[in-house]
Amino acid sequence: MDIFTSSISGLSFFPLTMLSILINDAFFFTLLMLCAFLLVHSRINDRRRLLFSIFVVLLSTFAAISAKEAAKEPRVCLLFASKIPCPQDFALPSTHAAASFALALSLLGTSLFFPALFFALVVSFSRIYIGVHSIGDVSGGLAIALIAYYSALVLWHAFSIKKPENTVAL
Amino acid sequence: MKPPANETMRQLYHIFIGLCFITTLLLFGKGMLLFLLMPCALFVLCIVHLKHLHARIPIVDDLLLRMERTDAPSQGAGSLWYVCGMLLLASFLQNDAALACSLFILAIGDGVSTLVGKHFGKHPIPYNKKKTMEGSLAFFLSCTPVFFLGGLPALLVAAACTVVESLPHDFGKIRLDDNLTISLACLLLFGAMG
Repeated sequence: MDIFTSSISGLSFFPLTMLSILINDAFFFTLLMLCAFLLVHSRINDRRRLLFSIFVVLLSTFAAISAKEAAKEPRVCLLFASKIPCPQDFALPSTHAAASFALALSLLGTSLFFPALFFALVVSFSRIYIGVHSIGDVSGGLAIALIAYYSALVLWHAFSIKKPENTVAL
Repeated sequence: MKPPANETMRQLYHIFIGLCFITTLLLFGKGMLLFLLMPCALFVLCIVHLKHLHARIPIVDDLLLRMERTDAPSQGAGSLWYVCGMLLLASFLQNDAALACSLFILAIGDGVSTLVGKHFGKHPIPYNKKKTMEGSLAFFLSCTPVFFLGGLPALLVAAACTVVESLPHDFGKIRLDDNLTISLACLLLFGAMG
């Protein structure tokens, strides 16, 4: 384990631990993402943007799960102590990080980009803090999210679907 | 009036940044490399967002004006794909030698091939008129030092990346960035070799 991962996972702060445990819960995380989509719908008022965001997040999650099975990288918590029981699946990339960064990327060019990026950073930090992921797993999630965003743009173009307003081409 | 983007400066900057990250990997390890790459990727992402909103960013604006390609889909996109490629390699390649070789191919090979192709390229590749044989040859020759880092398999990956780089990257309105295609090729080939 690298020094940065061990430094972050070695921290102990009760509110942060509670928040990280909540984010780790699949039901709560899905609920958070749904709230984020509701916020996108209410603040941006562009149905195409909402659909695009949902598609990018789903694509990124699917890509991250597939990459996990391909990379077969064991979790850091199998070797070092973590704050929760170690999950049974593989580590690389972090699906939580990939989904939350995908949400932020899908909001590039809108007023919600920075709040979504902050959310993604909190989620990513919590995954390292709780001891189930390393910094490499989280950065892998970011890379997967970027590729998912680009793939979504290509698919949108290939099927001649009108892009949301202010979409950032990469 | 916007001055033309300086391709030579852009490629030298590309090579320099790549060498900085390779040095970080060799001196301080993969953990430090990832610790630097992650904020870099987020910083470039923020720049892409802000430039899309036409925000003025001191220093960065000047750098983009000089370094960014004029035909880039958005300002900062080229840099974003470069960092994304390195991030992808640093995250997924578990072998440090394979990672160093991949970063070398991405930074040096791509940069040198463009420099040689622009200045000395005379013979277009039959299947891609935008690239030249001189540029592709320079790509492979500039990547030969990877032999000392990863042996014959690394040299084979460099040869495969030379072919990938020479392929057409434009498909109508869809344009693939060579930083991403080279990174993916390195990742798949080194991954397949174990």
